Amino acid sequence: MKIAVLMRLVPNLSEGVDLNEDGTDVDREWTDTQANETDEQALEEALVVKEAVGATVSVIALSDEGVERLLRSALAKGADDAIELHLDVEVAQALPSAVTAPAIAAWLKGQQFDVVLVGNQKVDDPFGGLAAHLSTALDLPVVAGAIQVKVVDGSRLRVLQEYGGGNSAWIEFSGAAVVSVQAASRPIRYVSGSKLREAMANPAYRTVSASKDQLQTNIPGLKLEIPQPVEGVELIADPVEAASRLVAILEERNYI
Amino acid sequence: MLLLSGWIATLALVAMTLVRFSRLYRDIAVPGGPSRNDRGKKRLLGMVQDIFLHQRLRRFTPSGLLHGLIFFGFLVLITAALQSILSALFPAFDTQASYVSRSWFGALQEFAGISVLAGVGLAAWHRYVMKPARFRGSNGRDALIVYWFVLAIVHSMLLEFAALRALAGTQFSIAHPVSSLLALVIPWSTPYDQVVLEGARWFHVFAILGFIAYIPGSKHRHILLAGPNIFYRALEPKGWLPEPNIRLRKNGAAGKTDLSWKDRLDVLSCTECGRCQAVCPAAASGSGLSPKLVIMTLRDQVQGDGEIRYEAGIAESALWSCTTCRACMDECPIHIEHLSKIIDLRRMLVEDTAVEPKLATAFTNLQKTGNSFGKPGKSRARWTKDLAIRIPDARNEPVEWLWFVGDVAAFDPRTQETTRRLAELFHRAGLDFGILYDAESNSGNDVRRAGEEGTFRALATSNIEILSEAKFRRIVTADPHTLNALRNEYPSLGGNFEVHHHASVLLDALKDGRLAPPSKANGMKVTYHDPCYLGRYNGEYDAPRELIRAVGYELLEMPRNRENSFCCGAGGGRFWMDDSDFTERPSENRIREAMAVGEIQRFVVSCPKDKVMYTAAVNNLGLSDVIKVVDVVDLMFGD
Amino acid sequence: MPRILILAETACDAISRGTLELISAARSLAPASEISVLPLYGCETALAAMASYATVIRSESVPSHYVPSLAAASLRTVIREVSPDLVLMSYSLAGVELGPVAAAAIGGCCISGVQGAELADNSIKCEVLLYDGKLLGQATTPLPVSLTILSGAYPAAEPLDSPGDVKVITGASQSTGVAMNATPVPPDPEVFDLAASRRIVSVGRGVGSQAKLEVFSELASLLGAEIAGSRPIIDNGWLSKDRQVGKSGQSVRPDIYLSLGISGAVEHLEGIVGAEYVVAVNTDENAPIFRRANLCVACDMFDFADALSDALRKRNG
Repeated sequence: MKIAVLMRLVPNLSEGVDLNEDGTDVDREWTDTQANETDEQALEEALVVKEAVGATVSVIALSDEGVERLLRSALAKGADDAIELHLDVEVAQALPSAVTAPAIAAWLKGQQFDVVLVGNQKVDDPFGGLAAHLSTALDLPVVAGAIQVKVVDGSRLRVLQEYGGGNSAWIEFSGAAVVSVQAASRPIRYVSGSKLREAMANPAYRTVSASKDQLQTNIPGLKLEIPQPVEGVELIADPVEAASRLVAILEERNYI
Repeated sequence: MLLLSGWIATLALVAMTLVRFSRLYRDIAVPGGPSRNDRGKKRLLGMVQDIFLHQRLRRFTPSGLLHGLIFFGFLVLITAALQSILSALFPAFDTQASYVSRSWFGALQEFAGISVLAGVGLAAWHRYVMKPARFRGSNGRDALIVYWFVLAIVHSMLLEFAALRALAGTQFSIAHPVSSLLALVIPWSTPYDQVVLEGARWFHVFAILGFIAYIPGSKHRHILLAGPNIFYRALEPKGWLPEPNIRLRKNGAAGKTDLSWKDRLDVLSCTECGRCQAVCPAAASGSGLSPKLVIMTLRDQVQGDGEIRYEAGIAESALWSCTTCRACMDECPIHIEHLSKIIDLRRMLVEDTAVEPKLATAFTNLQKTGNSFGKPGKSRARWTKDLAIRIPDARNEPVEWLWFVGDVAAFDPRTQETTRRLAELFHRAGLDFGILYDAESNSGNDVRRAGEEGTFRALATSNIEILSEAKFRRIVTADPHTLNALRNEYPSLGGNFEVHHHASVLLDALKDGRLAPPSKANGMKVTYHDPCYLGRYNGEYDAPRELIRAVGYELLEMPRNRENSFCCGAGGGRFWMDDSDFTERPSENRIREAMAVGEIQRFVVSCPKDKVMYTAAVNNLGLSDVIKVVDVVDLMFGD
Repeated sequence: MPRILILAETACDAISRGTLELISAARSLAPASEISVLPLYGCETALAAMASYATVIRSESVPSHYVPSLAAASLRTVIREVSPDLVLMSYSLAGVELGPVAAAAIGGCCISGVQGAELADNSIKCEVLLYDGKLLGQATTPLPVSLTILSGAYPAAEPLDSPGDVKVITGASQSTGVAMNATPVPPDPEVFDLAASRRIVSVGRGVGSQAKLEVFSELASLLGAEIAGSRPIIDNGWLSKDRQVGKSGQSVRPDIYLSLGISGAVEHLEGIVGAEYVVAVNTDENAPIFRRANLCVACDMFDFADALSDALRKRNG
């Protein structure tokens, strides 16, 4: 069983948001990046399946600053090989999934993967998730919101799909598919510094060219703004003051 | 007939003893491990001083006293043992033996015997009446057996002496009180007297030989192993950690730690005295860690199947509780090296990814951004943003002093103000200083001690590279952990720097008149906490104290000061771990100690982690109106 | 007039709240538009109710539970039939799966995380939330387009005066996609029903450890409230799944919702759309939750919990 895991970098906005000059994107030059959280969950679940049935796990990412580190960490965690897809664009991580999906799919098509795993969402991607776009480009079914992936009888997939309100269902089928993972079935493993260093020398790493022609072009641009605080809402900074205000409100409303 | 069976029994016991000792030797002498044959004279001198002056034993006074009585007593009694064995096996020696035992030398031997009895008596009272907490977990049965052997040996010796006196018809002599008294009191009559002599002598001999045969299997081995263990102690700087000792097994089996010959010698020498446990801050806080139990467990594993497994008897949570403060190693009378074993076991856990989530996050942050806070590397120097002065960038401009700021001082909002004030002080003192801005990474001191060797090397290598390219003469830092890494760990990786603590630099400036003390010199009563990595590890105790006095405060010492300082609990990576399973935090224990000194208004520290830990402790104990935690820097601002 | 297709979902015997909001959205975007509703799954009672709100287009057999391939196939079939200009769906699991599928089928693009939209001649301008609510984005694109809309962005619709038609698609044009078995996992009957709680104290990642949760459990008892948490708390195992508030947890509608150390990501806010009065405590003044809260407290959550517990205890005497 061959599994592909797609991984992406997203901006780290924990220190505050800086927009670029024309307000069309975050200022990527001055913002640190981090691995997309649900993509890490997808990698972890791929490794769970690998340990259960002996699948091979290939990790793929679009070439960009910081991507080599991302892919090599995946190798350190247990992925079998890593591929950088070189798109010859300025900042690949800023492109929406809708734009890059056809180019990625064009490469994936030749590789005969049985399952393509992706993270369920990416915080800066308002034009549709990568999993669903890949599924239309590859003409494969998509199962989203997975919290567990199993392989039965050697090739059938069983995916636990999570809905709202505590509901979930097992979806079982044969054949290749794209699965987007919300959470892995076990916590993300920690990889030690020495394993990371070993992975830096791992030869199972290659760069492949992907054609820019395949990029989707009908996606609109975004104009970004920082939301303003809502007028007329009380903001209190002192805990004691806030506590007495709350008690007063609770009394007003006869809750206590 | 008796002689023949005596010989046979003796030879049998000797053979058994040799077998047991050879097994002990085999358990210790494994190939590889550190080479400790250098500086022989220094090693020997230190060993002799330690043993004969009971330097560390004396720190726990009752124990030191009783040990002295037994130790020195036994040194003399070795002669009596030889005497008895020779005269038992070779009857020709009888007359000489009799003569010696009734002479002044015999009086000395008798005195030694009495002091040994006194020592054992004190030991028994200490163990069974005083019941010190540090003995908890130690093998009481072993101790009892040793007491019985000693009592048997000394009593039979005294009876033997009494019989010799009786047979020779010697008068009562106050120099030989016990044997004279026994000689008077026991009804001697031929051949009864000869029987008593033979009986006492053979009993004495077999008690000795039996004891010697018992020793390899008992903590009493320390009488043979302590000397070598002290001789082969580590002479490298305390703050330097040896390389990992890990042999990782392939084919998926968990890594096993190999203990080197020195580790094995360490654990086999342990007397289970528990002094390490008594001074350990983690043990005091209710975590499962006892340094003594770690050593004892490793010893059992060495003597068992030789396989070292951390899960059999050493809980993972206990291993992670260690703050690497070194109190255990500095207290141990035999110079056992607890820390390198604990850290080797941690290295194994890290490789096996058995790391708690908070710590894993800190490690991952360190790997990605070079700081444990997870803040972007580019924001490291944000604390300088609103300063009135501009701090030179040591990457581009040559400076005299490179100020290596450190993670906590730069990123933790609870200490950033102190860092800014230090910048101002350096400026006022006219210091030619600069910082590395965002090229600085965590020094790696605690990363290494938390077991993440790979990440430590990456951080250290990066720092050494940056430092080698910057132009400066010497380094100053306010963080003792950073100081330790830069001074003691980096040389083996190619980075040799002269490193000073900020208190010394500020003190010099004050003495020169380049810095004026604050006008509010008010004689307030303060106490000072010695940081582990500045005090115990690097021997610097005085500069901060002088600074406190020079600024006009009255310094009152806490009971546990200087080398006996009690750790705040943040070292060894604990700053990045969850401490909700402690019953009493070490930092709170320490604040209570300060409060008990009386009238203290300021708790002075000289380490940013101390500031954070103790401020939190003061708040948790509800004492923020009573005592304030300040760095020596803050004192210069009249705080 | 634009043709609007709505992907409808159900919850037990009724139409899901999200679907009712989509219907209002459609009506407000283009009051005179032709609105059709495509049920992706549901029991017959719920399906029957749909006609009270709009025209229904459905396949012969609609599965009682969601089956990804069936839903995608019937979507493609219906889009071929109807050629909609706008396809609307909720920001639910189905919406995340089908947004791009619908976009490809209509030949337009997909916009997801929409909280407001405006139709102009032949194009639509949408407002989306990005970075867990930290940023707002505006995008304008020509029709046709598929939109995935956040809960609570529109009110629930009222039924029509007279019910709409029901068109059933039959015959060979129906495809079913890859054969999939869907086995629903029934929710644990032992679980605690958070959705029925009138007062909730909800804790986020900022609590730090399971032991520190104690402080907030005590606060909850003083308030007569139930303790709950956001996703990271449940993922760490510090609270059971039945106490999770948010998109993949429970949707709650208490009188008082006190959130501490929760930043207010879209997935969490979805769970508290129905909360009457929201108090948010967070050290970050720019936390998105403050845009939802009625009372904003910008301080440390432990400090606030202590102050509130003290105040309540003093009151109780």
